[in-house]
Amino acid sequence: MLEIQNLRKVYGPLTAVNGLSLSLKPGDVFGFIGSNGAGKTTTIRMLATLLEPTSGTATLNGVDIQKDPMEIRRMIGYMPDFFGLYDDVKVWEYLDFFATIYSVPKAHRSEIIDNVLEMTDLTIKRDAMVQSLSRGMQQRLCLARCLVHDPALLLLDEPASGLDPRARAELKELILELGRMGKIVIVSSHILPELAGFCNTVGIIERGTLLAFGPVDQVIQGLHSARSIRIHVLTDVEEAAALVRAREGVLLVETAKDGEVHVEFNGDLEGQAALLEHLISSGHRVAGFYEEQADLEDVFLKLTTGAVQ
Amino acid sequence: MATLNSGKAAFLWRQLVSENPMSVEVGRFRRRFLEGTRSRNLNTTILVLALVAYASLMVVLSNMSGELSPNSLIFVQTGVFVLLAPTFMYSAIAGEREKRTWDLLLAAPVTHAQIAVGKFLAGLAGLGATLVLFILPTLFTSFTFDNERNYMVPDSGVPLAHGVSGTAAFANEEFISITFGIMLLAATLLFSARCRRSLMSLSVMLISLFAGLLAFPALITSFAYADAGNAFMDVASFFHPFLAIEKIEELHRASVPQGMAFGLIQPWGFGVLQGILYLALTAVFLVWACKTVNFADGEKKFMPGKRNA
Ligand SMILES: Nc1ncnc2c1ncn2[C@@H]1O[C@H](COP(=O)(O)OP(=O)(O)OP(=O)(O)O)[C@@H](O)[C@H]1O
Ligand SMILES: [Mg+2]
Repeated sequence: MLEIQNLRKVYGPLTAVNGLSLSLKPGDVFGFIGSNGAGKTTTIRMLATLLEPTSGTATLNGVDIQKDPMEIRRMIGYMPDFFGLYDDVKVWEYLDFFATIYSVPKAHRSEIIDNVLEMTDLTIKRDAMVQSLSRGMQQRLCLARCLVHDPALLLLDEPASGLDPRARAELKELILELGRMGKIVIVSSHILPELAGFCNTVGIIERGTLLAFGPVDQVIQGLHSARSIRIHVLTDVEEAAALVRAREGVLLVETAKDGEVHVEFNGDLEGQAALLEHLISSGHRVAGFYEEQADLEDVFLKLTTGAVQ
Repeated sequence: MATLNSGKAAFLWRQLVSENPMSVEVGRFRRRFLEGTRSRNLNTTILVLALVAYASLMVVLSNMSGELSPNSLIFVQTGVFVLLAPTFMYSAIAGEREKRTWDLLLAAPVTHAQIAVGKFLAGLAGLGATLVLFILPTLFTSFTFDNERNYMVPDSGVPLAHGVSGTAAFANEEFISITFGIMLLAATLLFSARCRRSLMSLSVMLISLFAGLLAFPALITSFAYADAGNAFMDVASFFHPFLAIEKIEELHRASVPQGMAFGLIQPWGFGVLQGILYLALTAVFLVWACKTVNFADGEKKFMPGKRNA
């Protein structure tokens, strides 16, 4: 269980994180969305015990990040938004070094290293020098490093930047797998499609404030209580629009030249069906009637103003 | 009280040395310097130079047995320490910052003291290896050196009686040399902790060495022939390892009054006292380095002062 309560970080006049509260349970893959400078990295670094919060608390499995940072560090795997690699060592040496620092018993070390290399698809690079790896491989090595001590919470700061589409897809699989293993995974990003696919929880942060938090569909629903419907009629558009406008629950009707009517509708599915029925029974020839699927991107754009401090 | 202290000391020993996960640095250090990688040209060059010097020493030794004194070898050894200690340590912490691996260490379950001491132990191992290279020829010359032939009252053919026993002088000189090397390690580690760039820490260290070993004694010597000359020289010799080693050697060679006129410091003051002073400084530098290590955000300025937010 990760519980964050009212976490704040102030840099002089600037409030980088402003009273952030949320809670995540094992298995949650949390997508932390925000534009540049929104406060994602600052939040993650506070959780990683690298930054002292100005106020507020966070506890992981009952351990407070400020009262017992050593215990917290044992439980988290932190992948920063930069690489942090030693270039003069071999891949396995790099992992062995961190396994040692995290006090992984010597007897298990090589087995664990083989496992994480397998998970991150780096097995064939086991004996390669770190500096000889491609950017994407280095990124995966960073992720492998976070896994050597089997942490309960993974803090991944923009893990997918710089990865090719295939590596992205694999990363997605890997993160899902980590979620299934019962870890809490926090993934920050500003690339929305990247997160939408595999997070079961999202939070949208802007200028340090968490604007929305919850399961993905709830966040989308909560902000998109009105449905967007497109109707394609072959008969007179204006007439159809007038008909729709008169119905209950219709908030907004716009017509386009090509015979399309855009409707913002605040009713349920029954009302939606009744609307279609009404159009047809009034003699309109309806060629298309579909609900526009709202996605995270819409929610994000709707919520945030794009203002950066 | 005594048991309390020894318990505490044992705890510190376990935490910082015997059970310090950061002592893995020693192995990393060995790999870096001995299994040389291409990227470490500077270090490799110095290592090669040291080996060449070692080989030529051995040649010289076998040719001039009886003429080469252990004292001159200890002199060379101290000189090598002066060159190697900064090379071993200058990038220990500043280099981690440059590679951005520093945050990863800070986010790992090791204390600042463990990090600093781990780095220091690695340097100590390097210094130990260098010492091993020197100790054999030095011991060798201490047996072959012909006191009778080399130390004689000028123009008389009468051997000098020795003021300080040969073994004591030898031990004292070695003690100064080794402790001075150790102190240089700690000093460089401190500079490395306080500098943002590793080259900066190397420069600061080299400038300090230049000032301490060359400029300061030169200044003192310019007073030395004035009235208070011997007192000045004594003070200079006390703080300067090379001058101190030389002084011990002089004391050892000459018991006759013409040899020395004592100023401020008595003969017994040379040797152990300096070594203890160097060790005390080592402790101070190490503790200072540990205290400096505690920042991830905002770098600390080189000199203590206001910490940037
Ligand atoms: N050390 C610091 N000193 C002063 N201000 C800082 C510091 N670190 C971050 N900030 C400020 O805090 C705010 C949040 O930064 P943060 O790095 O958390 O953003 P982010 O959401 O990670 O952005 P990005 O998507 O660009 O990585 C920014 O306005 C930034 O300028
Ligand atoms: Mg960031």
